[in-house]
Amino acid sequence: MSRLWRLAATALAFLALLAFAQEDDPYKEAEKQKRQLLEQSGVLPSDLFVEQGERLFKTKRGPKQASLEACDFGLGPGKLEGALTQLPRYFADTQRVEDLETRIVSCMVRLQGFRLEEIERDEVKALVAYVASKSSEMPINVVPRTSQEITMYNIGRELWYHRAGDRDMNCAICHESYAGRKVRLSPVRSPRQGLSNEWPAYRFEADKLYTLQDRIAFCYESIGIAAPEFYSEPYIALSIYMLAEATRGKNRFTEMPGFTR
Amino acid sequence: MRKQEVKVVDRRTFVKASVGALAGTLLANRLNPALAQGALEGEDLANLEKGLRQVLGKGFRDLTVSPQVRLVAPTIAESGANVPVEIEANLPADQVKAIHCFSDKNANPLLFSVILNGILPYYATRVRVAETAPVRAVVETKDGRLLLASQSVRVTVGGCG
Amino acid sequence: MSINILVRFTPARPKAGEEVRIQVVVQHPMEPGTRRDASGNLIPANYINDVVVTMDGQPIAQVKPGPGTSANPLFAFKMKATKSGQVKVTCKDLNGQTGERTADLTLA
Repeated sequence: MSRLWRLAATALAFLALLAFAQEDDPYKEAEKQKRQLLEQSGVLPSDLFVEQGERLFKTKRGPKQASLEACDFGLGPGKLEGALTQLPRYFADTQRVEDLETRIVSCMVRLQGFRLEEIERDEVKALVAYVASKSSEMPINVVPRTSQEITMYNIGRELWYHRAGDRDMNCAICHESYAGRKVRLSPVRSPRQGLSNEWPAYRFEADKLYTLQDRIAFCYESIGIAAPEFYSEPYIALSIYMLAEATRGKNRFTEMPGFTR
Repeated sequence: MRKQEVKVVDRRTFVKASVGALAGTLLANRLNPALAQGALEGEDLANLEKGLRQVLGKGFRDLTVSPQVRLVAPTIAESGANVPVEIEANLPADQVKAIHCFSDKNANPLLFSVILNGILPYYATRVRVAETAPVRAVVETKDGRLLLASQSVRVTVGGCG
Repeated sequence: MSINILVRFTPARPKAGEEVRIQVVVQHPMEPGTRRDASGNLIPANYINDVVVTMDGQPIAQVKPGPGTSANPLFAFKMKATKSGQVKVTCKDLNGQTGERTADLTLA
């Protein structure tokens, strides 16, 4: 009789294994989707945004009819190879710490003469995708040095631990207490484990290109906190905090732009 | 008459065989959906019929299940908004007129139609599947046949946000 | 503003008689007309409903996508590479916006 039970138990375990052999990890599903897209279509949607960004970067635009080729991302005017690896950073010409998208906006204002209100977010995102593509898979190298960078890093750390919203949550609750584990179906990482190294990325579930600011905004909305305005300090502060920690954890960017759920 | 001797197959073997058969069937269903075509997961022939009539002017019974049509789609899609499908017909290029694709549970069952002119009978794209349902590839030949291949796509919901 | 299209060939330079894939990706939100925005209003339908692919002016494929096609859609075709030529892809959406892209197919 006991052998029968053992048999039944084995059979049930086998069937249970079958049931769970399907993918319940959204990141693995994203990998599968990406492979399938490349096999069947040879092209990823993120390529569209990179190409659009390249055109926007090189075309003479705005009241000053200038391209963005003179924009300095920290390595010299127009030098894009590896530029993302050291952003956010302090810029003397604007006297503030800027991340990639804020820097693009300030260059569009200063070099091309656009007014802040007339800059379209879709264009900024395409430019982010283009510049980020030049730092694909490179090691992250954000080390706050100037007093402004260190201040921004500290603000970022404050925000990381600051509880807010009606659910009384902060970033650390998921991204530290659960780091390396799952929150519902999503694996979560801490910045030391590389959190923030895959943005900008095409989120295939949303059919959109998300920049790091978009992803932070999405996170805020998910935990019931109203997201700040784009290009504002909370994003720059959180970015420099996360990327500096990611640097300490010796992390690299993924393929840029990334491709994720 | 002693009970034990009437058995043709002893109980242990019988249980092993049944469990094995059950597991085997379930395994087969998962690995080869075509075998389970008796009842495809999420099937909604009534809704599908509306779509077929509107696009092709024909009904489900006018379709012929054909092993010459190959439909590749994931069995589980984490996002119903982005399901890759690939359709290929093992027929000479000049015999294929068009490829249509439907999904039973979409409000509008027609996902797309492609008219091919002289190129290979092949098409790949990404579609939106409203909920777990069969995706159906219908290859229209120049001599008026409608060849069908179906596969269920299970749509799940994503993670924390 | 015209619709952005990318065209790729795989392999990039096929040999004569080899199968080559024509891979097209189009930048478009493909709004099905059934989604609602943050205020609960229906977002009007706007999707690409016509894509035409020609080779040296001869139509080789016509796609009728619809609300069932994903955003930023990819379309992939296959053909035998018999000669070099120019592939042209044009598309149109419900709002009348159009896009056009040409790509030269060169045999190895």
